[in-house]
Amino acid sequence: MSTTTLYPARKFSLQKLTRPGNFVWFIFTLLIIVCLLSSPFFFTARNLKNVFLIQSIGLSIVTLAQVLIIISGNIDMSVGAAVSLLTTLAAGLFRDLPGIDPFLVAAIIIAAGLLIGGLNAFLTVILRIPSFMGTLATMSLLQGLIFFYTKTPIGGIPKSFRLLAKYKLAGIPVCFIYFLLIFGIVALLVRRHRFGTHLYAVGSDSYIAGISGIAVRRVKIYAFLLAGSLVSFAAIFLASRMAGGGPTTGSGYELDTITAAVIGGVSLSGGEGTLLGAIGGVLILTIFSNLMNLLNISSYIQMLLKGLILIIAVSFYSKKNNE
Amino acid sequence: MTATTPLLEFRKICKSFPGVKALTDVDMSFRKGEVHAIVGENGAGKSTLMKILSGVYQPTSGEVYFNGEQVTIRNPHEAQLMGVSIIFQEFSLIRHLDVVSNIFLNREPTTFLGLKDRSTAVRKAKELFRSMDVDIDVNRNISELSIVEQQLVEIAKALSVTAQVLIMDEPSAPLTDKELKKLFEIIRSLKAKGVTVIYISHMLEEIFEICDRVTVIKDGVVTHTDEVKNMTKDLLVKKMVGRDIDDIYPPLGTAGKDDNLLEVTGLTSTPRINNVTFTLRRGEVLGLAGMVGAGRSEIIKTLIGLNPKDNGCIIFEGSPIENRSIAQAIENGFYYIPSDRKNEGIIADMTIMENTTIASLKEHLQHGIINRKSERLFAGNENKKLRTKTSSLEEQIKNLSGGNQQKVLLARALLTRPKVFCIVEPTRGIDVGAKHEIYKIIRDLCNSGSSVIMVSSELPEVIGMSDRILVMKQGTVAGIIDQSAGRATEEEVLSLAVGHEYSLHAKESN
Repeated sequence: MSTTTLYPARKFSLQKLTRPGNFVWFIFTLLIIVCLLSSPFFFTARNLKNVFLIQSIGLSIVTLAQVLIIISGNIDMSVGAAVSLLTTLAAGLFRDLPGIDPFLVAAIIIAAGLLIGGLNAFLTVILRIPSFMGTLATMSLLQGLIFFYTKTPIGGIPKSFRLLAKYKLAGIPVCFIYFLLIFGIVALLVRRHRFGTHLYAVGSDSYIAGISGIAVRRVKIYAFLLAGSLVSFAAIFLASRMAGGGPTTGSGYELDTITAAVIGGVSLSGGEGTLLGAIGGVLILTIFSNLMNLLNISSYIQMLLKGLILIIAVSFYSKKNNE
Repeated sequence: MTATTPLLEFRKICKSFPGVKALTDVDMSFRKGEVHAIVGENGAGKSTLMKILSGVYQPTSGEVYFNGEQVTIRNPHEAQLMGVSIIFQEFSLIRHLDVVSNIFLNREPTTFLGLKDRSTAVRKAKELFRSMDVDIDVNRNISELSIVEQQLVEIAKALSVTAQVLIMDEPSAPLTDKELKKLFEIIRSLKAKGVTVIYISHMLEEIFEICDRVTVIKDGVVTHTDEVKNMTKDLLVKKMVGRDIDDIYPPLGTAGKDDNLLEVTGLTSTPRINNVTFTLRRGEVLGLAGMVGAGRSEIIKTLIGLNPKDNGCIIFEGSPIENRSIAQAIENGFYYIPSDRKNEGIIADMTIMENTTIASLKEHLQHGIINRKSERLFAGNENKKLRTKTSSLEEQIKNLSGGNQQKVLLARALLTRPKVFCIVEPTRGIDVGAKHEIYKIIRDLCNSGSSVIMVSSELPEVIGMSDRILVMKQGTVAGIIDQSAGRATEEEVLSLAVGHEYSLHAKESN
């Protein structure tokens, strides 16, 4: 039997550059060039370390959590409050139980993160509250809980716990390895594990995923649990970096993670987008705010510009989708 | 299992949706290794029955037996485990995933800890397509494929399961002759392996070519089961429709020859229609016929201001008018019901009452506030007149059957008291009984002095309903047939629509 060639194979096209997943790196490069031209301080070792390691790792890990939730067809408004709560919890544990094993603290943080993810899953998947509302409620709940515990930041996290952010292994910062490890595992899950395929399927069309035999609700619950644990890993890093935690440590993270995801080509309607793209989005956001700082532009104006970027990114991609 | 035990059996299956009884006491049995056709009009309940078998729906009552044992199929996953595989009528592919991922969705070959074995999946997918004798790049996303390719992937997905029962719900619809032949080869080889194939199709020729037995469902009830070799096409049609074709359409109207409601001259909207001239008499149904893309619905869209009018003159009741938007068109006494009921007609989440009054809400305003009492009164009366079947006006319209949704849309239109009423595919996806009622509603509207412009791809419908038929060909008027002296034949209409020659195939692809 002969095989007929009816359908031409896929070809490379220039259009690929403007695909969300690639376009973000185009913008990234452009932004770097602008930075190099506009400030002599940008390309100093100190500043680069600041931008790529200190500023972006925390946000990157939380963004991974957000992206998982968005791909599954939901959204998570509670990540900011969760980061605040978890860093505060870490600092509080060290303050109230001097000499506590740092690994025990990390384990408690992860357990607490899973609990928050579980709560979000319960609200949106079991009680079927739309995720925006459900996680918004979680956010308020968590923020209230923090203020019940403390109104001011708690410092004094011991050196042993701070090694994560400070220590270098053979010249490479440990926190960078920490991030790569987390990113690698999540990427493996999403790209190479059947869970990832199911995650995209559920977010793309939960009805079709269901009639294909996928346990839709279970996939969504796993996504929330996974996101919860990722938020704890971010909180562990942030507590280690700032040597403390407080009620506002994670404020703004819900918006920043969503913005980064959208800039990185993750579709807010679910089922579309890559982890790497979203990390590109994080880098664009951090470099952008670094540039603003170097140029001495006030943080209020930065906030305003961030809003504008979000509008431009969303309208750009929704226009592309309509074409 | 003895030879007489059927592989699969339905006993007294009933299924109700809010306001509709889709299936009533369905008994059916399927033998091992047979190709069993299920036929019936749109909305007869074929797809509902198959969704019960594949675990998408649960029956309201009744039992399913598989290999002689009673089974409960709670979800699609259980159906898969049982060995039931289905090619759905609507696509069941994830657009953002590639071909391989779709074929093995939820059955991904894995290495360890659930990690996907991509190379095995790719190899198996390629083998599958090779055995089907088609060439598709398995790494492409579904969103990049044509409809035909998507259907082939759909078939491959169903075949990738070692199934005992394979359901094919309208598998041939998007396929060309060439692929259809391949599909039949596949079915024959499945049959040889002892797989039971349930084949649902509108195309009776296919049933006579490939099927062993046939079951007819009409209005949710099994009316006939027999060996295909004992049936003829005419017999099958009669069993499906259950009534004579002449009883379906109400008698034609008696519109005056010179009583013109609308005169359209030189209507042009590039590139779709060019220099279209016609008149619409008071109280007539003007049917627009022609091939897909000939510009039938474009005339209506240009007339009511949905498409830009590049040229031409519309004279309505003796004076020239312009419709620049739908709102203005309604203001001028026009109304338009599009063919895509689900997306362009109903507002799915709103109630029947809200759907009925939304076009005429202005009349129920008192100082800018909606008078719910008068809204309810009008919506209730109109739906009662059209005999919309529902438990309550507060029911969401999406829970109604297609026929009843269409009646609500007609009620919505009638409340604007249109003089020129335009409707595209008035009975698409509607069962025969409701079709008849909708024809009557349209005819009654004409008898009360309004005029109707109707587009339909079903030729019998155009011929059955229209006082005059305007035939379009490539954006221009090919001819106008007056039916007052007697109804035209399908051949007459077709020969105008395609020029000097036509084939039956051209009609079917319409």
